[in-house]
Amino acid sequence: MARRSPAAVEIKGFGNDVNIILNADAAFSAIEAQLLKKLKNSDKFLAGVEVILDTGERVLNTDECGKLKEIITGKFGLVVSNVRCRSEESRTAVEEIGWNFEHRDLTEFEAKEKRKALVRKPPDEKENDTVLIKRTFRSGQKELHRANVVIVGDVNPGAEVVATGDVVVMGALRGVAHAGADGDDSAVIIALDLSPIQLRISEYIGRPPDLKLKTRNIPEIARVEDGSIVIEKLR
Amino acid sequence: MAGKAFVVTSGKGGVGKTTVTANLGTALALRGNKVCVVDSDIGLRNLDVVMGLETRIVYDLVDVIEGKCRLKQALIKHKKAERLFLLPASQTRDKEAITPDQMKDLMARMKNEEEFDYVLVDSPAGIERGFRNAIAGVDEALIVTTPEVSAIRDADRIIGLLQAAEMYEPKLIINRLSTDMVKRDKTVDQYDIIDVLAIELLGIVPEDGNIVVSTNEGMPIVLTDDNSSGSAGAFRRIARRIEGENVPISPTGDTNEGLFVRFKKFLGLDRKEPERV
Repeated sequence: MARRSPAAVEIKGFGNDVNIILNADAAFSAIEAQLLKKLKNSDKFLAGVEVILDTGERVLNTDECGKLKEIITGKFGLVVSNVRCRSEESRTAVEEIGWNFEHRDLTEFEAKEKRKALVRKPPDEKENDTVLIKRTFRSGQKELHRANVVIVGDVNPGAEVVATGDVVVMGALRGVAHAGADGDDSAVIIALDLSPIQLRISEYIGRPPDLKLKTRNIPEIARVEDGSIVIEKLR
Repeated sequence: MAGKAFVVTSGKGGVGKTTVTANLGTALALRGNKVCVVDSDIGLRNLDVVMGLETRIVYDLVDVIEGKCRLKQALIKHKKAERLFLLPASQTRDKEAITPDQMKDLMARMKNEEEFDYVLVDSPAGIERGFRNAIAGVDEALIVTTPEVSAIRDADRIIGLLQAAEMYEPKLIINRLSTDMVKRDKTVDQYDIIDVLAIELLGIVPEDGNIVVSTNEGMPIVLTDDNSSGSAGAFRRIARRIEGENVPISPTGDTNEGLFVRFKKFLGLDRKEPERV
């Protein structure tokens, strides 16, 4: 991704997400000043919004993090849902402040998908929770949960279920399911009728063979084994 | 009896929304109901052509909504069916010319002022503004699909959007089902469609070459074809079901044979018994 702008701070929208991007080389004082100025100009529509702080290559210390938080959250009431860093060195500082640290050199698309998986969680959902959803997911419907998900109903083609834990479909899985979206390789996908368009577990993507040899209506389980997704009869 | 407004919609284009609207409207009118078919495809109207009323348009839907004419002035009475009317769309405007709220008011006026028993709104393809307008103010939705994966996919999307708009019980019309193809296992069959969409099936219309002829002549097929097999018979049976009659749906959609097949699936659990291992 080319980001050769001279601006110390950029505020950009990717889809529904707002990103605050810090220049890697600019002086911190310049960043502070410009952030203040930019947010002031747009405070009307930014207040209360979830943002992603993208520090790129920049390394932040605890003091700087605190200053940024004071401006972003303290002054303007924005919620920082994630801090995206390419450097591991900022992690302690970021986490000390109470922000979510997200370290990975991701392409923009992957990052966006990843953020979706991480950010849009219902407020009172905790890790290791299990969410029970009693309805059919239709084409175009997508849900993301920071939990295990059990669906009593079908997941139709064009629908998508993303969970940080396991995905269990008490019905037919014909769409796309992503289990262990946070990077949990041990996550599994189970369905009474597993005929998906695509399965994703953690970083792995599996698709059914182009030749349809599927026997239907046998409960099956998908898991990661030796770096690829395997499907077997549920027992 | 208070009137009822239906939207005929599909998501995908070319599956036969307009044909279904024209024929169901005509069939309902032939059974003595006062019926209006409404073309909500502003800018790409063609219900008027299919109904054979294109030469009679003076005012249209947008004129009514903008108050340029009275509702009565825009309604075109059909030449062959006594109580059948068309409210045409404007061809020179676009979907943005009206809002869902205005459609809501219009639907209420159709039922209350004009005392229509049935109003059928022919929806444009797509899920944007035109679709939003078409579903505003209607009581029920009729989903039209053909036995093609792409059409079924779009129908599924539409059902989801309707549910989001608090219309929870749309009914399904499978159009252009070729029994021959089903027998040879060359197409998606009606069971597969119902399995995925999981909504109530209102009827199956068989593939019928005469539809093209009737469309080109501007004469809905239910006016010209008295057979109970073929598409005209299917449309007439669907009209009776809309009126609340219990008319069996044959699995092949053609004649009167067969059981009453009514699929309604709750929570996906009444599907074939999963194997216990």
